Amino acid sequence: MPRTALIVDDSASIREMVAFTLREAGFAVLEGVHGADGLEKLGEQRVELIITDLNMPVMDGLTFIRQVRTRPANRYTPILMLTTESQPEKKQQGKAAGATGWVVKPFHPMKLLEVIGKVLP
Amino acid sequence: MKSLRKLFAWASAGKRALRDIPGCLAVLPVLRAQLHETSQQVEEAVVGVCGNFTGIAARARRAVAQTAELLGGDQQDSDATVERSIETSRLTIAGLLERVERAGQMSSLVISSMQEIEATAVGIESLLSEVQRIAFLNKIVALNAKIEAVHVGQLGSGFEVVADEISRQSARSDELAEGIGDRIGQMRERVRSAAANLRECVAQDRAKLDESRHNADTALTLLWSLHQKARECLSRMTGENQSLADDISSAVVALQFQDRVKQRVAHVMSVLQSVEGVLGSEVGSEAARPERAIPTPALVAEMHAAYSMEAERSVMNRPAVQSAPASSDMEVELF
Amino acid sequence: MEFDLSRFRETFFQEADEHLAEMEAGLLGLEAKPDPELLNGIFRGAHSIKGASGTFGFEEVTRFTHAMEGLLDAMRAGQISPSRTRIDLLLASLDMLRRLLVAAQSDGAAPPEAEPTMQQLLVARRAGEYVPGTRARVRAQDRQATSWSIRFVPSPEILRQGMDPVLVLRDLGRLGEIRKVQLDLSRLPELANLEPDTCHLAWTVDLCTEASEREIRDAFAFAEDGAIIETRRQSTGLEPPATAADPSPAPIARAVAHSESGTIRVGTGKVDKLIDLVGELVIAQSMAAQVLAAFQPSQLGRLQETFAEVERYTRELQERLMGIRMLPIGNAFSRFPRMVRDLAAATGKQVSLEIQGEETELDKSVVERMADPLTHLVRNAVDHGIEPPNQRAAAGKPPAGVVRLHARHEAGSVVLEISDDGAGLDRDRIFAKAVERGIRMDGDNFSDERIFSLIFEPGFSTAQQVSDISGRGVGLDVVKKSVEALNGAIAVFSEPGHGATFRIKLPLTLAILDGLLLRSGRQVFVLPLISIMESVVPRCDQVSFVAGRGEVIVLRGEPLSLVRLNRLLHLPESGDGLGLAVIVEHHGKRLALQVDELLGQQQVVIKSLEANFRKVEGAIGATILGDGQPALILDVAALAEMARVAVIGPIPKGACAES
Repeated sequence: MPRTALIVDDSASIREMVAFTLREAGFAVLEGVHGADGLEKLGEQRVELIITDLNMPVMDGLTFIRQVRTRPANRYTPILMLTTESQPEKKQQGKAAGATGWVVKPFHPMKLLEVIGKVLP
Repeated sequence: MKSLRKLFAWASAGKRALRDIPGCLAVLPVLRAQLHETSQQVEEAVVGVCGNFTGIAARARRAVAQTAELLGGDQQDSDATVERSIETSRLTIAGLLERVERAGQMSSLVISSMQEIEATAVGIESLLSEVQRIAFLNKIVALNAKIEAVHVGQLGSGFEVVADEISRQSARSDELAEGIGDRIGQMRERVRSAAANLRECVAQDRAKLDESRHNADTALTLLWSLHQKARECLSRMTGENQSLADDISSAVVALQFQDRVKQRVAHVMSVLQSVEGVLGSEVGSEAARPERAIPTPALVAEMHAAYSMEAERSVMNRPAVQSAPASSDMEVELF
Repeated sequence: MEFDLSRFRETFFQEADEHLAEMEAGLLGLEAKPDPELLNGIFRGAHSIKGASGTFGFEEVTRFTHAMEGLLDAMRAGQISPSRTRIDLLLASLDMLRRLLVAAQSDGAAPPEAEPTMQQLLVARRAGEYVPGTRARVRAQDRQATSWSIRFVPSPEILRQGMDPVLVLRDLGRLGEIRKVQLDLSRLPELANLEPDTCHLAWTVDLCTEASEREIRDAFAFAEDGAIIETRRQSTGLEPPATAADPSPAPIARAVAHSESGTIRVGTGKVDKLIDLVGELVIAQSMAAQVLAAFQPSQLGRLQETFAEVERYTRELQERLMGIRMLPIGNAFSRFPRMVRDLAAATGKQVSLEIQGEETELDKSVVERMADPLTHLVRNAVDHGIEPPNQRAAAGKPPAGVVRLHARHEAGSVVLEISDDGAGLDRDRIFAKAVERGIRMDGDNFSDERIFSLIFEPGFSTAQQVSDISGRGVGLDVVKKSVEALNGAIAVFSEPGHGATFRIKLPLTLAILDGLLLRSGRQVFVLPLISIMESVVPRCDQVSFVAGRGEVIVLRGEPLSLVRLNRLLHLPESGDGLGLAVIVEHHGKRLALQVDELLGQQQVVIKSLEANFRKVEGAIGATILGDGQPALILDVAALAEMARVAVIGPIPKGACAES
């Protein structure tokens, strides 16, 4: 049974690249174009991993994370934020919202897999 | 008077400029649309490239899988299949060892038979010496009897006793001989079966042994070289795949520039919109509203001259242009 | 695809051993004279082992032999010269390869020194010179393993952030070796107050790792916020550096080699002869049967002849079958050239080894069981026998000592001689040591022979210190026991200043014994011919009674203990008077065994008492005589011991009456 991951980002190319990397690692990938879309795609199912951008229209990343944490199925699912190095406060806010960790953009696929390895058993 | 004229000229110029503004304003949405479209196109291009990566990775994986299959799965009926070779050699080697084992067992069986024969033979020897002794006695007795007979003449009794003695001894002789006969029979049986075992085992197997050995040698040599080649192939492919993965990873990092571009473009577009807003409010009149305004011909001519691409021109020609979807609270992050 | 190759593993290891032996001989030969053919042979050996080990999946062996192959290939292509240092490296690699094979055979881990050795081979391949001591340098470059004590108290929020703190412990474990994890439950509240998704646990981890502190910290990347992380370096827990490589192949390897192998490789020539012989036997058989079928007493002579022939063939068949188990003793000698070379170098002496009679054949298990005793004797000869070169020069001898291994057949036995031209045994020192150790000496005639044979006593060593090389618990007493367990005998001869010779006599086969049948009372016994010196008919006046020693017979001036067999074995007296005395030898000492009658010489088949009945004191086994009666085969050594211990009663009256 392959593990399922959700990537939420308004940039189609970023989504594509993250999804590609995850698929190579054996994940089945769901995609959302912004926070609300991500919640809809998630539904009630439990996924093994969520990766989300922070700056998105309609619903941004932090709100999305907070919403995910209210859903019983994904209360403890590891959530990684796609961030930039220059804003440490974002990481703090993200953690406060319930994020597990972060990946720095632009990301190296190997590094992404390494970070995923840290948060997944 | 001079300053007044200047002021008037300035005001007229300003009025003229103001007159031009609606024309300029009209162009701004077009510019914004172009920027947006550019951004979209770049994004689509990047998505397309990423799609290619998936295909490349899949093909590389398939190649490795095929090579791995060659190492393990069953292929066509060609004799050179590694699996067939392994099977042949396994059977051959198994047969070889079985024969060696049996030969070993046979040898020890023969050895213990031989030992028993030895013991039997030894027993026979002592029997023989017994026989010899009795035969000797026989002779003595017979001789004595003869002497007696000569001395005593026709007197029967002594002779009879002697004759009895002789016949008793003879009977014993026969008994012994029979005993020997039995032992010989035993020994013969043992030796015969031992010989038969040994001969059967060794002769029959010698030829098979050689054949088996030859088969095993050939099969194993072939196996080894095939295995070797397959291994080399697989490791080469794995190495290449690794390089491929590295290359793709680098490409992915590089392609994320698109994100930066998109952000910058969005920034520019937002600035343009603000400018639009400012200018529009300055001009004020209905006529100056961007949707209704007619682009200044001069500007249009300039843009035509500058833009070489068909796509760009078509954008220009679109009458009503959507402004870029920019959320009000969008934060722009510049790397 | 699962293939069970386990049955063929034994064959692989046997063949690998043979290849290794050939390679070693080749390398030693190469040292003496560079010869391209030798190089080719050595290369082929490595190549074969590599190939076969790959088939069986012995990865480390394959990699290692590949490295050896590389160097050998360069040598045989003439790119690199076979210098002495390179040959040393290859010899050292052979030792390492032996250890790798042992590890593979017992499914153990490969020795850690294999990797650096392999690196040296690769370096040498690139036309570098092997410099002894690089081994140590390579090891020093290893990153130092440090012990850390790491305290980790995660933020109580951590679970709600989707992070499992146990993953952090797992990542720490990947950095090295976790020696201990201690769980801290002090923050755990009462069950009523327990919130399941608040983390109340903390851990202290003892980690031994080569990683840097930064790498350790990295493991806590997402677990840092609100957590307490303390890393403390412990006293550097360095593993003691591995001891220098043994100068000899590991004892484990020897143990493996010592266990008797189950398969026998038979030369086809021997098998052919066997078949011929069996054919002859069958023919002789049928002739004998014919004669018997028409038996007349007058035909007795003819019958005898025929039987004699059958007998002859049967015996020869037996011998030949036994001969299948015969191996040339050269097999056991094969490791000595290398061993002597290394030992001489280690002790700073010059020793050359001469081997004669390697083609002498012995029963396979005798060869195997003599391997260790011979090794000890050769070691002794180099270590204690041969003097250092300056000492030899001072004594007017050539600086290089000679150790000679000589094997030959002698009248139904095999004689192995290990001799050296060193300083010889020091009689006085041995005597002094004996006195010091309180070793009892019977009688007062201390011949050289008897003094020298003291060195076979347990715990006896006149060496100033038991050197590391030859003092490894295989004393000469063990050598003697091994030889005697094979029905053999060992003696030592020495001429001071000229060297010493150890002579081992072994029966040709294990199971057949040349014996002398004798009668004591109503029972028949067998005495091994090998231990009999002579037999005499003692006269009354030759027998005396010595207090504390029992009956003694004086033979050519030498007093010998007279042991009455029937009395010793608690058999009823036969009253036959003095009967005969058979002089037997044991331990350099002689004994006169009194028996009633000698019944003749005979080859007997030894049957094991332990296997069929139980151990009987005084007997090495039993045999079945021609009339079906069993007879015990006497153990001369045991009898001597029993006699020494037995209470000797007063001389019975009339024992000297002439019969």
